[in-house]
Amino acid sequence: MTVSEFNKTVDVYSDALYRFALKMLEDSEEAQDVVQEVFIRVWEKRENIGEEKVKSYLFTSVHNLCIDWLRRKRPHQSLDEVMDEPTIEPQPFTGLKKILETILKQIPPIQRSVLILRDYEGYSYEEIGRITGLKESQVKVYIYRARLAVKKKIEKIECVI
Amino acid sequence: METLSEHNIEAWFLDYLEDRLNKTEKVAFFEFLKHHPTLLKKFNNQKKLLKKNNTFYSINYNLLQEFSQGKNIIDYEDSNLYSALKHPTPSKDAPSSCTLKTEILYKVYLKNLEAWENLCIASLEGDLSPQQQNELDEMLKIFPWLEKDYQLFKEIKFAPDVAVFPNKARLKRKHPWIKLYWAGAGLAAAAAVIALLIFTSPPGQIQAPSFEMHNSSPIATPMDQALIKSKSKNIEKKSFTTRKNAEEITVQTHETKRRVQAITPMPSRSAVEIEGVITYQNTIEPINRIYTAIYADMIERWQYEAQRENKSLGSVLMKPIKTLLGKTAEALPGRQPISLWTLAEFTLKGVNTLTNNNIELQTVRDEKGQLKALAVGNENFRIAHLKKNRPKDIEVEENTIQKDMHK
Repeated sequence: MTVSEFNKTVDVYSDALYRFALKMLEDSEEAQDVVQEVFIRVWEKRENIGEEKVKSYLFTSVHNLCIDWLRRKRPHQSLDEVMDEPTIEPQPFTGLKKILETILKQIPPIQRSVLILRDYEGYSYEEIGRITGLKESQVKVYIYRARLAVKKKIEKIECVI
Repeated sequence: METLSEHNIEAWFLDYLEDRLNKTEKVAFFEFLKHHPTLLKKFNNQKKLLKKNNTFYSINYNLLQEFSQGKNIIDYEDSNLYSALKHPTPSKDAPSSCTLKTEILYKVYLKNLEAWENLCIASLEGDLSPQQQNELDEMLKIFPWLEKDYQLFKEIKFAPDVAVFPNKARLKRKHPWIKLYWAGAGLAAAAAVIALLIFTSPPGQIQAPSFEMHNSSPIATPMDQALIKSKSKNIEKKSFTTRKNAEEITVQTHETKRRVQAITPMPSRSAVEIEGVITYQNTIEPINRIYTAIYADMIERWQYEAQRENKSLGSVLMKPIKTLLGKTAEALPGRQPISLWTLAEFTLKGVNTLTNNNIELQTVRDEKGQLKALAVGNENFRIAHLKKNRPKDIEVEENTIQKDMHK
């Protein structure tokens, strides 16, 4: 990968990666650091990463770094633990989008990750599987679970309202 | 396929149900289930739910039993919920006692919510076949109260965001030549030396260059002089014999003489009228002399160091530069391998930027593209020289000079 190719990669993917990291971490500074770290890794391994693999490599690295970061931040929670009990507190109505974003923070990281990749970036099950290291069928299951979890939380809010 | 475990068994379930397992994997799958009875039970339930009718909304038979309050509903076993709802009356052959009311089926349907939810999600994800999607649409028409639930699923799809990474420039890498361009005064100063290196003699006969006024034709540029010199050894000879300080010159080697000519500063010239004849006079500004002296001093110092280490000046200078450029050299425009010449061209740009000068590098090449002559300079100083790859010419030249000196 030449300098020009690398810079083109930055132009093409940095925004999507940043959005992904931002949704995962909910922290702009951390999200920027993660993206920067990933591009440094790509530059260091540029000899081994072809242009066709770079997208997958970038998203996989951001996903892994985000998961690590979340584990460090909340070491006592397992990936599937969070979704059992809804923890949304009644809030003034701020629009469905805001509520969805709040709910998104509360679902397990792996489900959040696949849901973000699916909805925000529009990736297929296969691509998400490559990025997250899951099987396609697992991705499907996680997406279904995530949607159900979000819907249940929304219904609870509706009940409260 | 990854090894079976409790964590990935669901994926294996789905793969089995969708017939994506090969024989070996199927054997491994069932072997694993044998040792995990709970999972086997779960698997059987899923299989019954998903595979039997090949739809998401198949009947939960236990719930049917429960809500039909023990009535015989065995005739419904082969139908699915959709058809049951659409045609609440059992088949014609079924006994009348088995009539099942639609409202019971509604209850079953709501209890069997997971299937309905899966259907909605599958629809949102575009996983339904056209036929299944049609069935769903029809179902929504028949039971409008399901519409609200379905719409809620639609609404919880996240819309793409517009956040952008701030300051992308910090992620980008600069081209190596940009680094080189701003590499600093040291690298910039090397430009003049590198240009000279192509033509200077090997270490061993280094002497301090001396400067004197050139008395060749005032309109001749250094490049012209170099070319004229290559064409006619007589002109060369004459130029040496007409020097004013002949005594000083005799104590220097012929090598030095050649360098003296090469490094002779070319002064700016002004037209002067003397007794009605317009001629040219050399008017060298003191500051220009200082510039020239600084360059000459740098060159001499580097040459001295090269001589002391018994290495060629080129290798001494190129070593740190190559280390500096190292990995990035390949990424130079056009992927040309770094050479002394490329470096000279780039660093001259550095010189111009840092010193706010306009130093030019001029070359003359022969028919084969080989470098013939070189000149470096601006309005303040000029350095020109011929490439010494013509052994015969040099030999003749040297003999002539030696004869002159003996005389």
